[in-house]
Formats: sequence, C-alpha cells, structure tokens
Amino acid sequence: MCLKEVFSCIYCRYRKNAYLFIYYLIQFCGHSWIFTNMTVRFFSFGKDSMVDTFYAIGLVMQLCQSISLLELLHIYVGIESNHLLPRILQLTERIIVLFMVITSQEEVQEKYVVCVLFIFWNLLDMVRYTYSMLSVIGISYAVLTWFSQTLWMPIYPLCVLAEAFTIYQSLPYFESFGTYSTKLPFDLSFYFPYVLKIYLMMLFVGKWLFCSVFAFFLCFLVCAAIYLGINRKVCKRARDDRGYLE
Amino acid sequence: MGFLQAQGALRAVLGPGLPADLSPSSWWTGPCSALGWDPPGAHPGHLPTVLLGVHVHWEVLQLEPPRPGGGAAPRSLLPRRSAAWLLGDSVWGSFIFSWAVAAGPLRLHLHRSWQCQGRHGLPSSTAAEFDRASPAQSASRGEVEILDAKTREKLCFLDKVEPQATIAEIKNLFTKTHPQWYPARQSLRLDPKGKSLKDEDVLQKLPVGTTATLYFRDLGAQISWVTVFLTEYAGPLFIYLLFYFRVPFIYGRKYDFTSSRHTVVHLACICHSFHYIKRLLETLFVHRFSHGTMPLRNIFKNCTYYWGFAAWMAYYINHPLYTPPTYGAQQVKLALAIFVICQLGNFSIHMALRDLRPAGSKTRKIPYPTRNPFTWLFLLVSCPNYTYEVGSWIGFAIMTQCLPVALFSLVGFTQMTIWAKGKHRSYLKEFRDYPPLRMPIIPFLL
Repeated sequence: MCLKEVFSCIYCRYRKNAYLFIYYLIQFCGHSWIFTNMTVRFFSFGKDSMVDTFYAIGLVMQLCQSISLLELLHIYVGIESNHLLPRILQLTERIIVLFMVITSQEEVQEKYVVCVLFIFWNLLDMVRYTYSMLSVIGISYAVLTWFSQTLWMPIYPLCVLAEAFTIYQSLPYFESFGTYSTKLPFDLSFYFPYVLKIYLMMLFVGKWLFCSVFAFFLCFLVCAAIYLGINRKVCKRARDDRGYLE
Repeated sequence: MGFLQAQGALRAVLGPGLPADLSPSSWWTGPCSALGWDPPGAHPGHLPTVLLGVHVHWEVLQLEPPRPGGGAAPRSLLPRRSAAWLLGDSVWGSFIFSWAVAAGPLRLHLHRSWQCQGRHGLPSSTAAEFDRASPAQSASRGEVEILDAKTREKLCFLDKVEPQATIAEIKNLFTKTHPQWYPARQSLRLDPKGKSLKDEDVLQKLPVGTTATLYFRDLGAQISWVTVFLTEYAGPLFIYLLFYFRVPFIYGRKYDFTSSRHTVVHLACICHSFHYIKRLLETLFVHRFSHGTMPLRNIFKNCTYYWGFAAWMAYYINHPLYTPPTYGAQQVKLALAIFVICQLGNFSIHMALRDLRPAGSKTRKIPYPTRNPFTWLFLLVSCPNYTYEVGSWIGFAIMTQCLPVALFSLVGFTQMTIWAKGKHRSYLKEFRDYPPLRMPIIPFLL
C-alpha cells in the first residue's frame, strides 16, 4: 500500500508517533477526567450521584466517543495496525447506544444502568489509552500490559449486558414518544423500537461469536432479513392503528 | 489392529466412492481438486502445507505463483519457512490423520448409539417372544403396573410379563406405549421415594406379588457418555490450535498467522494436543462405560468448562507478549519429563482398568498392579489415573508458567478428589479384603 511506504521513513515515523501520542493523550485526559469525576462524586454523594451521572459527564463522554471515530481512519490509513471490522462493530455499538438511545431521551439519562455502563466503558478505555499512549513513546509496564490484554475478558460480556439492559429500558419511551420513527415514502416504515430489538439480538449473537466473523455476517444477514420481514408486517398494522408523526 | 478396522469401517460407511488404495496421498486428491487446491505431488516441496489443509497464500511462502499450464515448480525454489511452520504442519497433519483414522469407527459408533438409545446392548423383548413361551409357564406370568411417582396416575399396565424378565425388558415394553420416554430416560423404582432399580434386576427376585407396582420418574433428556466425551475433548483440541496459529481477530493484525519465537510455546501446543488426542482415542477404543447416558444439561456444563478453560489457557500461552518461564530450559525440560511420565502412567492405568473387565460384563474387581511399572501406583492409591492426570497438568503448568493453567489444574484436582473419594468409599463398601494401605488420590495424604 503506497500510504504505508509514505509512513515508513524515519522522519515520517517520528511524526506518526507524535500524532498518535497527542491523540491518545487527548483521549487519556478525557477519560481520566470522567473517571476522577465519577469517583469523587460517588465518594461525596454516595448513591445519589448515580442519577445525574449523565448530566455531569455526558458531554465529555460524547466528545471522547466521537473523537474515537478517528481510529477508523487510523486503521484505514495504516498508522495503527489492527483489523477494521472489530473496531467498526465496537464503535457503531457505542455510538448507537450513547447517542441514539441515551442522549435522545431525557428519561433514560437518569437510569442507574447508564452510570454502570459508563463505568465499564471508562475502565476499558482508561487502560487501553494509557497503554497505547505509553507504548507509542516506548514505555511499558508489565502490570499495565497485563491489564490491557486481560481486562476485556470479564468486562466485554458485562458491557453487552449493560447495553442490552439500557436498550430494554429505553424501549417504552421510544414507543410512546415515537422518536426516530418516521413514515418513509414507500411501503416500508422505520419503526425504531423494532430496530432496537433486532439490534439487541445482533449484539448478543455478534459478541458471542466475536472471533468467528463469518458467522456474525451470516447472523447480520439473517437479522436484516427478519427486520425487513417483521417491519413489513408491523408497519402495516401500526399504520392502521394510529399513524406516525410526520 | 485399529487402522485396518478403521479402513474397513470407513469403506463400509462412506460407500463405494472411496479409491481402491487408502494411502493418505490418494485421500486428498479428490477433495483437493474439488476445492481448487493443488493435489500433493504437483509441487514437491508443498506437501506438508497441503496436509495442513490451509491454502497458504504463496506470497507468504515466497514461492512462484502456479503456472497456467500446470506442471511442477522448479525444485530450486523451496519454500522458505520457519521451523515452527513445519512443526505446526506436522502437528496439524497428525491431528487430521488421527481424525481421519478415528472418523470411520466414530461414525459407525455414533450411528449405533443413535439407533439404540439406551438399549445397553441387551436384547429387547417383544410380545412375540413372550407368546413363544411354553404353555406350562403361562400360569406363573406376572403383571406389571407402572404409576407416575409424583401424581400416582396409572401410566401403563403390562400383562403377561415373564417372571424372569429384567427391568431392562420392562423398560423396553414401557417405551412401546410411551415412545417419548426411551429406556435411558426411565427411572423405575419400587417406592416413589426409593432408589432406582437397576437394569439387571430380575422381576422374580424383587419383593413384589403377582402384580408388581413400579413407580416411574422421568430423568429428563439423556445423552450418551461417549457423545459427551467426544464433544468436550474435541473442542479444546480445535480451540487451542486456533490460538496457536494466531487466526485473525484474536491478537493484533501484525501478529496474524505468525508463530512464536519461544520453543516452550511449540512444546506446549504439542503436549496439549497430544493430551486431548489421547483422550479422544481412549474414549473411542479403551474406555468401557458402565452407565450408558447422562442428563442432557451435562453436556453444556462440561463443554463450557473444558472449552472455556482451553480458550483462556491458549490465549495467554500463545500471546505475542508471552514471556517464557523464569528458570529457562531447565524448568521446561523438567516439567516436560513430568508431563510425559504422567501421560504414560495415565494411559497404562486406563489399559489396566480395561483389562480388568471383559467386554460386556459388569463384574467389579479390585485393580492390582501388573508388570507395567506405572501400574505399581495401585499399591498406594485407589485411583492412580486421577493422580497421573493431576500430575500431568501440574507439569504443564510448570512448563508454561501460566496462571490459568495452574487454576485449571487446581479445579481439576478438586473435582477428581471428589470422584476418587467416592470411588474409594464404594470400593471399601463392596470388597471386604480391600488393601488398607491405599488412599483415594494422593499416596499417604488424601
């Protein structure tokens, strides 16, 4: 790939490392701010701090997760050597849950599960960005390396469960307010709660088969087919009942 | 013995589509050409890679691309590969070969076990056989009434049951009226809260009158032991090799399909694979199971345990950042010696236990040491197979110096201690003259 050759000379490698260090440093600052904020608020207010977690740190979390979309560019260009697909899956999952599910509904922001979810994401990201930041400039600590390679094992399943529970808790609000559900000009309508339910299924199946990507693609196709099939049936019935927001 | 039988079985099962000579080179010609791979012989230096079964992209191997007109590649361009690849090839090749060898009797066996779920090889008694009984015995025929143990409702009434009939035959007759409860799933007992009757018990010897009342309990869906064992041992074999060859999406992209530069990692793969191949072959050819089946949920429990631990172990040992043991080659050699000795010991004990009981019988005898030195542990321990098993896993843990392996040995040790204590207790109960020096699993201690 010609871009890889561009980055292979020492001068460019220095620049690449400097850029990566700055990127990881920004992420590290953001996530450590979130971590410190949540910890201090928890020790000051106790359980009451969990309710307005999103109010306090939501903006910074949204910023950090939006910036992390840059990582896709890093992988595509080649300055980070990783597989594209797992990163895409992880990022879409985070963006969907954070922006579509939590940010759009005020009632969901006050749930406890949002705080729990943010703790898990923060833990993973803190360790990851600290390790990446230090490794780019050549510093490594054994304990940090071990944590960065091991922590995902207990935390990813918990993350999936927390996200699924968040989606599950948000469904009644979506149904009653009709957010993101629109009537498209042709026959198919976009009824969001069912999209989320199918997304839930995809989440579980995809995470379960994390290593076997082919099976995940199959499930994706199956889920897409089910989604189209269900949507056709559901939207006909729903349109007869009440009609959607324009 | 085994290979010829396997050949015959393979022919019988796979049918006439098999080539006349079953040498490994001809096995691969058909499937290879069907899948678009070059069959062996096309590229002389290529054979081990083909045995690997993976279409390794020739750029990786720095070979010439295959010529359009076919023909062999020039011999001067041999693939430049690390020793690890060759080792991996031989591991994979032996794995595939052993699977191919086992496939014949395995398919035959699965076929057989699906056919007679729970018959236990005992003859079935049909009504026709009973009618053939002589008229002089008809007066002493009994009747059997089967009630549900919980609801006491009458499920089945069998008349004209021969007094010499065994519980197994009664179970078969019951299956005819209620086909969803195959014999392995039935638990018949004299008392609703009592113990389950054994298959060999004869109706006449039970404390019942002319009309016997038996209580039935459904044991739930059953699955045969052999199926469970095969599934739970094939998983770790496959999963470990996935991690060993570093398939994509596990470690970072720059480590895909690389091999470790530490010898101990390759040794660990060989030991682990050898252990599970040995277990698979023992399940197929050596073990004799006294019970036919176990509840279905056990397969999920057992598979999760074995597969989960195998994946966890393999992830750490085959990690690119893995550090070899602290004491270097000395530690690895010592641990490897312990592992090999314990594996041999385990195998010897399994063979000795198999020779203790002839095929089909259910006699129970005290195991004694034979001429094989590994079986001399019988003098000190009731279940030396568990002792050797724990020993080999401890050896593996020392060799890799890896925490999940140590945890796996610990969990295995606790489970095997429970089993060994139970077995020791049943030996003591059954045999008056059981040697007093023996301990369940660890000599003199436990």
